[in-house]
Amino acid sequence: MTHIIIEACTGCTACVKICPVAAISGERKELHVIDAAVCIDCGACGKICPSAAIFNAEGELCQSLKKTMWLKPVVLQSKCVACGACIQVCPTSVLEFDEASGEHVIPALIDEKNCIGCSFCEAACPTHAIEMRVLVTT
Amino acid sequence: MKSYTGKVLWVDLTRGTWQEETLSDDTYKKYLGGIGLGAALLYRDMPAKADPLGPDNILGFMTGLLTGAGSFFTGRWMAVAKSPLTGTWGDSNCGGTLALAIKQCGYDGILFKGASDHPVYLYIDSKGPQLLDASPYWGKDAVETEDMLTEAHRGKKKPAVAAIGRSGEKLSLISGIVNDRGRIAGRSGLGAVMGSKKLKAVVLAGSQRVGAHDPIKTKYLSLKCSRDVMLPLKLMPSRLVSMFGSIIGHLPMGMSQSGILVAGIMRKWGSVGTLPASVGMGDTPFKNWAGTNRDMPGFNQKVDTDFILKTEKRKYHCRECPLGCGGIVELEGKLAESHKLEYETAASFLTMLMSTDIELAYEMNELLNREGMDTISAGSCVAFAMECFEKGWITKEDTGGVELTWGSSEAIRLVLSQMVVREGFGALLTDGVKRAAEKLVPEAADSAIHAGGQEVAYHDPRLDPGMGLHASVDPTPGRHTTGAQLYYDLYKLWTRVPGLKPAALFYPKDSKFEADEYRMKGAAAVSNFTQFYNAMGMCYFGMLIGVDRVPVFEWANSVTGWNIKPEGYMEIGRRIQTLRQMFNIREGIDPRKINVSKRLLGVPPQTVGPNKGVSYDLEKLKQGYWKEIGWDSETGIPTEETIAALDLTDLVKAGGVL
Repeated sequence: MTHIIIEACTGCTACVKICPVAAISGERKELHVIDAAVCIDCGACGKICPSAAIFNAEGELCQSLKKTMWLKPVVLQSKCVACGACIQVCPTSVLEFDEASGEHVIPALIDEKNCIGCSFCEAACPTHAIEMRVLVTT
Repeated sequence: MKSYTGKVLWVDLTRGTWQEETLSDDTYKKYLGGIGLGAALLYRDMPAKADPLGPDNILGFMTGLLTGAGSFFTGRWMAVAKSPLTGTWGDSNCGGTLALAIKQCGYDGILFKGASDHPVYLYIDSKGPQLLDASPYWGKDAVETEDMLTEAHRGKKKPAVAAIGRSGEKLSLISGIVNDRGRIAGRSGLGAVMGSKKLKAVVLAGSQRVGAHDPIKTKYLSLKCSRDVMLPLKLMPSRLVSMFGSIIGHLPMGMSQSGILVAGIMRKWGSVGTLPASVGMGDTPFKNWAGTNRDMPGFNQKVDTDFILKTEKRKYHCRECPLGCGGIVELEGKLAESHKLEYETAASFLTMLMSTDIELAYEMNELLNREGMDTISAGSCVAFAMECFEKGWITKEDTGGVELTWGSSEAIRLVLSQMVVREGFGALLTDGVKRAAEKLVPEAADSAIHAGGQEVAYHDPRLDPGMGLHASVDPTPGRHTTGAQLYYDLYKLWTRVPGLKPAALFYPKDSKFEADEYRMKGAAAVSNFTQFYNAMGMCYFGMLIGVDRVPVFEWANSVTGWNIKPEGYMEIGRRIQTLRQMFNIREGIDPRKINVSKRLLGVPPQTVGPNKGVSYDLEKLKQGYWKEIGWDSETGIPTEETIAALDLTDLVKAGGVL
């Protein structure tokens, strides 16, 4: 079971633009559909949808969330072993090794704007070195 | 969630089509993944006696059962095919990012059959596979190709790329497959198989998730492992490591070594960190295996592995590796960015050629990585040519006026530059030493050092006869990663597998050459374990740390949900090893005839150096190994009882052997 779109969809195409795997299709102002064979359940469509029109894989209605409130990864230097698993599972390639982080370079979020907050990196990290947090811009 | 996808992708390059094959859970329980699954599929689908450079050969890119599931040391992928270099089962193993990328496309393996009539590459993203025209990339080196294809397919997800360079395009039998800008699956000549299929590259941009049956247990094991393998060791400078090696070399007793030392060396220097000690103790070959460390006095002072650390910009980790034995290096004004020398490459371009020109070794390493040629085989080829030149079997007329003298940087650079593109004098060596010797005087055959046609990697069997044994009995001959007596000490299998004896801390050096039950049981166990961990996608360096610190058996159960005991996994390893051997038997290979060259057996014995006076009976060791692993002790052919016990009878019968 993957994410699905219901009739409340207004065809605004916000989900199409944010989907990292191009799983969503549909005409503007018409009901969109998610290709279950392609969807990776990242949840980005559910968070961006302004019409409460997307259910997640567990059958729960996804809550729309302002982008500034999306959880983003923070790499904990003391726990990271630089294995790079987080970099590779990221569907938008927004994590990369930080050249300035020392001899065994560790990952950092290099493209916060395009991070969809899917938490795949957190799940993949073998040493619990990634925490998902709302990043506060100072 | 399982750690395997349950599917492989078959691509028919002749027809330009592809289809998925769904595999049962039982198939995974029987063969695991990686090399095991590859062996089962190739044995089932490849016709016997297929031309290795013809459309009947099958080339598989396989990923391990643990890859992507939250374990460590599991970023390895395996290329499998019939080897055009040896005519045997062929495989090669590589790190980087490709292993996980294969699974992220939804497959445990991607297998190519047939051959295209024009250059193509396979591209897979979330929408599925496509075969695309590779004409713009044909003739480019592997790094250029990777950069261009990454740019061409840079969507939201950065793709992983594996490609051949010009050596593979020109069907060099010692060419490999390159990924991550210079990591190479170099052995078995599988770059030529890819070239023969006109397959320039594989570009993978999938984002599918990989999981584990028990992710919490898997992560717990990983966390504990990372603490156990990364102790805050303060290692001595390389010159003291070299002295340590020399002392070991002179002692009458051997000493069992600890895996934690391997971890420390790998983390600080990478595999090249073992060079000083290996030179000191007589592990590293000199002068095409005919010399000793006495031929290059002061080598460890002239070639200081601490110099390599000074050129290192940053460490390089394969995916899922906490150690980071790789490194990205820079030589000011000469090389902007290159992968650090591995031990094998350093031995290949330095001691084997009697050279101390480490900057040249960097340069040649980069050249061969880009063009996709195996540095182990290539160095052996140049060493062979230098010996032939010294003996007058190759002359300046043959070389185009070049003096092929030992240690000549000019000669090394020129010959290798010709070899990678099959041009000039270098073309003689492009297909390895065995074929080169066949074009020279008959006496040259004794100077061509190989096992079954593949150049032997640089750990001297006169120091560790297990190296010579495994390089001779493994279905892919000539490899150093398939087994050694040292590995038995380091793997520490007796801490997990009942019935195996612990290695003694000290032992008389002479005892290494005996084919006694302890040594032979150990050799068979090392083979079975190697196949098991290759099927899991584990790194050999990681495994050298030992199963007491790297919980590969425990991970295997936590990611799959199975409850198989270590001895059960060892039996699966034996199944894979036996199937690889049956592949060779079906090809008409006689295991009795595959042996490391007699120079490596101490025939004649060396008169000086750490291995002075050593010679040993390989035949006896082979027979002992065959008996312990359940193959006929006289012929090396797996017995019908063993085949039945391993539940291989149906597959083998279908292959027309029984």
